[in-house]
Amino acid sequence: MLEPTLLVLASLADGDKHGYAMMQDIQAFAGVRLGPGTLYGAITRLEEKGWIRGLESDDRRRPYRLSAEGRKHLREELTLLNQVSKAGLDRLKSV
Amino acid sequence: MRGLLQALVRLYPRAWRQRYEGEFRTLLDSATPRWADAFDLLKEGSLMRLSHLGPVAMSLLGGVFATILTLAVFQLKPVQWESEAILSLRVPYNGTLDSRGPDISFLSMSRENLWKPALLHIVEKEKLYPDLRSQNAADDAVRRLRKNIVATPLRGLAGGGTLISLAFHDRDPYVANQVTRDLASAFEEQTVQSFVRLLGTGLPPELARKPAVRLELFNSAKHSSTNWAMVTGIALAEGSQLGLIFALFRRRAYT
Repeated sequence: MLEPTLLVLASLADGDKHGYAMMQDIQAFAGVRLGPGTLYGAITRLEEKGWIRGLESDDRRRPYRLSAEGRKHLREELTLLNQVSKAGLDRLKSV
Repeated sequence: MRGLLQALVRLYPRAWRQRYEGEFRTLLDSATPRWADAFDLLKEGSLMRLSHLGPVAMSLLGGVFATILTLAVFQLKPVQWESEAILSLRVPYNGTLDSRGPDISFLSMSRENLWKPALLHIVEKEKLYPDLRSQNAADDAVRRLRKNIVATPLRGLAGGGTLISLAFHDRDPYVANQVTRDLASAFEEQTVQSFVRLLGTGLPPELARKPAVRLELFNSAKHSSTNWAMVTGIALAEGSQLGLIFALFRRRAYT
């Protein structure tokens, strides 16, 4: 249910990663396997917005890094999600 | 499978591939290939390709897509059958009544002049509109029947009189035939009665015997035709417009 772009941003929050590493990381922390097309669709949109940027690399696997703006956006989104999650869980407890 | 995934990368637009192709192909080589990935590439590649089409190509694509969609919808539409009766309306009296002929023709041409009791009788006899009959909505049933009747004056007859086409559509050709037959009879009966009313009480005996309406040709059941040229033209034009608007106002994912 989570947006692929949010998953990519969350994956890059603890350091630079290339596509395959992101795919494995997202599967590990969110239990979601993003298809290669979906993953690169998200990377394309995030790079266009300036929230991540591709780094130079010697091999064919280009790593990506979260930009300051991307980090700010991720923080806002996760805070909102946290609020929603907390409110929802509280309401479930009260029933 | 891996070969298929690599081939699907060609779906992506050139500008995108110039930037991402190398690393994307490396990812496809590293990950375990799945059938779901093929659909994923097909979907994402097509969307990316769509976002890179120019206004003209997008307009053409929109037109073709809308046309195919419209024709498919029209194909799924239930088949309608049309039954048509051609009535010859002629005043059979050569005396002073000739001048009243056009008035009588005019009275009889309109479907609105088909009287409610006659139509209600047809609704019940042919078991039309079961939904309305079950609710005892007689007025609605008559209204719907009236709406489905097409009464058209065709042309004047030599020596006075008029040809009238009376048509009815239904999904069942048998029902279309039967209802048209009933309508023609009702039409005939009512025209004679209108004739009598117009003339008052002094109806000559020969008129009482001869009907003012005669059925010339009856019940040619056929598939009601769709104007394919018009439908295709409208779909093509509307789809092209939408494609153009989309192309002009979209946000490109990557340029």
